[in-house]
Amino acid sequence: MADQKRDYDAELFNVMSALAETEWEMTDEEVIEDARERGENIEREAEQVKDIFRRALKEHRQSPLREAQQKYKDRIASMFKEEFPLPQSTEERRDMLYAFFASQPEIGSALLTAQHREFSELTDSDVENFLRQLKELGALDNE
Amino acid sequence: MRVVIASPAMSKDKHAPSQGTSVGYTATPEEVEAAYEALSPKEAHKLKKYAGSLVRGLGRMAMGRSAEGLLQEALTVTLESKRHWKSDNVDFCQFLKGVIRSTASNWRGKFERREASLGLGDGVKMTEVSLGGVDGDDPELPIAAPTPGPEKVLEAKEMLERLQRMAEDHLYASAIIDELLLGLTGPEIQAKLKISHTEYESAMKWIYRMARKDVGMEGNNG
Repeated sequence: MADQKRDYDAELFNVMSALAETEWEMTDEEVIEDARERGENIEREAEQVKDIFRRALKEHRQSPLREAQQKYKDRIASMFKEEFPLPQSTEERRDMLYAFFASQPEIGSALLTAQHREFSELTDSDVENFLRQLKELGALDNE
Repeated sequence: MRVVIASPAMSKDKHAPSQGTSVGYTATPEEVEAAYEALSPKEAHKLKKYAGSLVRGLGRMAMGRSAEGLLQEALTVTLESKRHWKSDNVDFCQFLKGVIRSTASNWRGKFERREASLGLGDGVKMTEVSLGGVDGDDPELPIAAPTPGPEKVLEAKEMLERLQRMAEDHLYASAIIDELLLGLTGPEIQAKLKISHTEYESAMKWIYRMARKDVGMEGNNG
């Protein structure tokens, strides 16, 4: 059957595209009349279009921030996936971190001060996180 | 006013903007913002109608996206400088119309590539290959690619058939629609049918009014 060889999707697009061009070439009077016949409010629709554009611009402006946030999340996630030979016991880990802070007092002070905490207040999880971040930064490579 | 649209051709769509150069100054996001805020109500309305008609024409190829989505994506590609708008010599409304057209063509292209990758559509040839049986070597048997579910193309088919029925008694409309189905442009149709631009435009407006009433050109697809 001839119908089986027809590409109805393409045909519909061709016809509607041509009609879209005809619609585009309408005079202002024809546009107004067409809108009136359809019951459309040109002013209201125009404002809707501008709202769409405003949203697009807002998303465009926020995309660098979103990308940075996603990169940060991906990096944190990868840190915990990587093989990092932490000392087995929590006590050994705490000793490792303490030793690092002792050798690099300015870093230790900065990290602890930023969180308004003393070393003794750090939880085991805090200690692990600090060690992983320092490793990621390469700060532990020579320790 | 001389118009130079600097946007690369992205598809075989004859109506898509032709490829131009993109050297030199292009608009900043702030200038784009000022431009769309300065659109007159009629211009903004026309952009929406244009996007709506293209989405209607995409049918299932729009994959559920709407005229609003098409407008948003068109502005996004403009802001991301994937389409360069030279604000000093290009009318923004006309430029954006071209971007909307290109974006719709891209949606169509992606749909067709997706269909092909799924083994659907006319672009895929499937061949049955023997895995080795008792009888030894069997020749490869070409089989037709699986077509999309009939219900998915039925809507497009029915719309086109209604349009053709409506135009049966119009002097030029029926012939013009037949040529449109083949993808001919307005000038090509005028040349082939030996009709004037005025006769063509008059018939197209008649088709438009009929299509608007029956086929539906609201364009909000999904």
